[in-house]
Amino acid sequence: MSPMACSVLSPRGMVGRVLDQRPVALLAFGFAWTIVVATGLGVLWHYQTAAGIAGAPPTRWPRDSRIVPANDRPTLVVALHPHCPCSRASMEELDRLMARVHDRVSAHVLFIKPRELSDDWMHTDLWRRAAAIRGVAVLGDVDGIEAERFNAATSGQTMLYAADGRLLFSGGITSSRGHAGDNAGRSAIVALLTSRIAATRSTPVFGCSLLGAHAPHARDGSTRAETRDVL
Amino acid sequence: MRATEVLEPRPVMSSETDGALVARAEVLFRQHRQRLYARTDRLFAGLMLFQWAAAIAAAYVVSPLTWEGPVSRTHVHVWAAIFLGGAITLFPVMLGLLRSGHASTRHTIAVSQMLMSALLIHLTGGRIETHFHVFGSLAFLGFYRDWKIFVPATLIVAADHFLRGAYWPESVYGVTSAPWRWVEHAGWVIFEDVFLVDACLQSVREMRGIAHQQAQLELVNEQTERTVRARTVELRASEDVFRSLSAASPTGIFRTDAQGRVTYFNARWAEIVGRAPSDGLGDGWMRCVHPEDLPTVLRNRDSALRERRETVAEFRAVRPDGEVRWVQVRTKPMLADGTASVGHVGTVEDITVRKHADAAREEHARTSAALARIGQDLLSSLETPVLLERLCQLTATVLSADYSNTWLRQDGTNQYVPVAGYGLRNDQWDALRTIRLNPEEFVALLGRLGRGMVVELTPASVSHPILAGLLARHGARMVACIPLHRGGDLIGIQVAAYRDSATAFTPERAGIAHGISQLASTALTNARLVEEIAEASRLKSEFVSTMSHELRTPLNVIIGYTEMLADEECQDQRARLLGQIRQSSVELLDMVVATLDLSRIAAGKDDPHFQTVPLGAVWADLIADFAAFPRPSGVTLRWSDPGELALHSDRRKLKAILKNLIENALKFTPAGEVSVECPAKDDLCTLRVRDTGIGIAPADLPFIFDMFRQVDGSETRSYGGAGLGLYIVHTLITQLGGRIEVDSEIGRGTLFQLTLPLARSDHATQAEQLAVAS
Repeated sequence: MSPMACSVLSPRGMVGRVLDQRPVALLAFGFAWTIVVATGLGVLWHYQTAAGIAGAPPTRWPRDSRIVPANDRPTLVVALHPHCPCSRASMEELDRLMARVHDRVSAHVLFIKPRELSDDWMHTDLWRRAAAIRGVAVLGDVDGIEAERFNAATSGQTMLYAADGRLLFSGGITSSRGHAGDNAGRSAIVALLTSRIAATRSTPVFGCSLLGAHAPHARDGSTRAETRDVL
Repeated sequence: MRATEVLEPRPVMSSETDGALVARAEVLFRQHRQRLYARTDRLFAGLMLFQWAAAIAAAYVVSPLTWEGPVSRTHVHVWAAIFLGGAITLFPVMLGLLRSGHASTRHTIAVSQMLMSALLIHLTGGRIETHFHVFGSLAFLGFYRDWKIFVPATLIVAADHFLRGAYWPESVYGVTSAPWRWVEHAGWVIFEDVFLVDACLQSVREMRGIAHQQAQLELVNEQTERTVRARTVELRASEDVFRSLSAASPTGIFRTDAQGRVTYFNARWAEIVGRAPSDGLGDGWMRCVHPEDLPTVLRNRDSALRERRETVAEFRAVRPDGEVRWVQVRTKPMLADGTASVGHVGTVEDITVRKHADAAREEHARTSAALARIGQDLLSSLETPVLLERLCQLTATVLSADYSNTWLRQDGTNQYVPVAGYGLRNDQWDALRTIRLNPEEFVALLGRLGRGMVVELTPASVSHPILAGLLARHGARMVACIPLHRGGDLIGIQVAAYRDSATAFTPERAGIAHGISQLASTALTNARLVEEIAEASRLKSEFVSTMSHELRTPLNVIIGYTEMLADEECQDQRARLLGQIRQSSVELLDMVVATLDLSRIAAGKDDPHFQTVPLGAVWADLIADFAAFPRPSGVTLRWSDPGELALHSDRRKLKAILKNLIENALKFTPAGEVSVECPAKDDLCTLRVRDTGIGIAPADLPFIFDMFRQVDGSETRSYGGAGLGLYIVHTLITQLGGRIEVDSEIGRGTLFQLTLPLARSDHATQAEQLAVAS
């Protein structure tokens, strides 16, 4: 491009003239921009892949649970925060999961709700979507008492118990925050329900804190959950 | 290339022109491409700002808050959309606005656009729709038509997918077991790149083609402009010639557009209509058209415009001073491509003179036809009463008058008397016939009529009570008086009267009136001549009868006395009988001499021989002649003494005059005296023959000097004579330069008075003066 064409066609401000007259300045701008953008993307990536606190559910179906487990098939329990945006991906994955195995499992979704808040706080689009999934029973969980029985801390935590009450799986069914799609948790559950052979029995959970400062791990100072084989 | 074919035909170019064309095409291509880069940079600047705003909105809608139990705070995605999205967007936007057109700008934009795709994938949780952003961005980058910018864009996509595939495959592919899946995704991007690059190269080729065509077009335009400039110069010169011709043209010239509005007038048009040429532009010319002609003119114009045909129209144009002129307008359509009318050109000619000539000719024809009819009718009769009756009828008919009448001057009294009428009721005519107009009361009117003028009278212009009364009685609002002449003498008036209109005569009617005057005068003269011929014929018959009688009487006397002389018993009366025979012979001789004199006078062979004639010698001859002239015993013939008076005259003719007068006096004076006197005064001599006879009636006085005229022309009259004496006297007196006057009273006698010049040195001049006075 000829300089004359540039001078004719480009709107010129002081910055423009500086950039034209000093290529180094342009390079400096470009370099700085690259650093900033790369850093930002890195931070965002890190956030996306940072798992929440995973509680350690009991290895046997808690006796004081209000949920009645199925005795002829496994029972799936998912604890959700009704406003967690990341849990929409969990709901999508649950939908896909139930589409494949709804006749092999009894599924329950718990929506926690602080006592001081009304039920409307709990009846969000997540509630309605969960209720629409075939084979899923939706339950409200005041003050997260039921979730606490399962020791769930992060929205999206999913637990699969066998018909005899043994814990088969615990973890999230998304691969990152709010990211739907194939993931290890869903693949493991499907495998357990179909072939009883799974590559993993626990996965990280990506979502909001279910109870915040009221969570048991927060009260007793428990650390982030670790992936562990409960079988 | 079809676009190239559309621009055919190409101009014929030389190799030098081809080189300039290629160079110019390259310049145009670069300029076009540069404008495209700059425009697309600015487009992306706007799009990226919008995209940034959309990312923030999407983050706020999808994940506005993050929760910890009942407590919430702004989601990291919202902050990422704001700050990271801003970081990705603002730098290329700045370059797009401040350095549009630079290669670094569009490459930065390409990189930024792909980074924005990565961010959106993050913000939407890897939704498949956001992957379309990658392909959409590549398509948008195709706007640059610069295949090179797909390189950094594709590298960014490939790097992003590679890193995700390597470290977090689920985040982009949704599967966990495809380590080379990033290659597949990058392959799809490259697949699109292939088509986009091909499209860019194709577009660049088209841009070059367009640039080449534009260069050709510029070249053609340049050549065309040169041609147009040359043609314009020629056209201007042609227009100058046209305007010069137009200005000098004796014909008005104008031009109109397709709607009939005038766009040009020359000076001649302005001269004809008396307005400035600019006043006629547009529809202004309509103001010049006579209002009565304008609808027709407009109809003709619209028809000519519609049918695209030539027209010829004649109408009246009104000048600002009110003068009306006739114009003839010819128009011809101007056709573009032989069919579509682009207006008319036309000429305007002043045909006022021709129109007036035509009108005058038509008027003259009508007048001539009317007069021919009048002449035919009038001249078909030579009887004056019939002629006058027809004259009145024709006058009323031809001049469309309500009534008409004829007034003729009476001989003797000179009064004008109504002699014929038409159109009046009987009672009105009977009343009118009693009216007499004395010429001395209408001197002015008769003077104008005498000069041959047709005089129009209205109640307002008539002051004489008789005429005013006539007009009022007959309800006439206008009366035309037409003179009737005989020679140069006014002998009558033909009247045409109008009850409903006081409008003055048109030239046509005035012409007809003058024609009536001439024809009626001629007809009346002819009728008079015929009457005079009839009268002359009657007089000649009467003369023949008289002459026969007069010749028979002395012949009978001669025969009777001759027989008596033959008789022995009358021998003692021989002397008396011979005297009677001689007397009768002398009478016969006188009658023959008079007849011969009359013949000589009529033949113009009896010229006078002027000389000094002593009256005493004439007296002596006359006294001797009348000594033996038989006369009643009671009549005395007395002669006054002429003394030394001498006349400048013809002695023979003078003697004949006096002898005729004296014989006449003696014939009609049964008793009393006949005296002959000769008083002189100044240079004139007055000869008087006075008698105390029977006298002459006043009605007969005007005719006593006519040929063969006798007061009593019957065969049983008391007094003989052929009726030639006084005619001969009057003729001879005229030849001698004198004059004769007569004064008579029935029963008391008659005085004939001759005035003749005395013999002096200047007698000839005086004689001429007397002749002129006579």
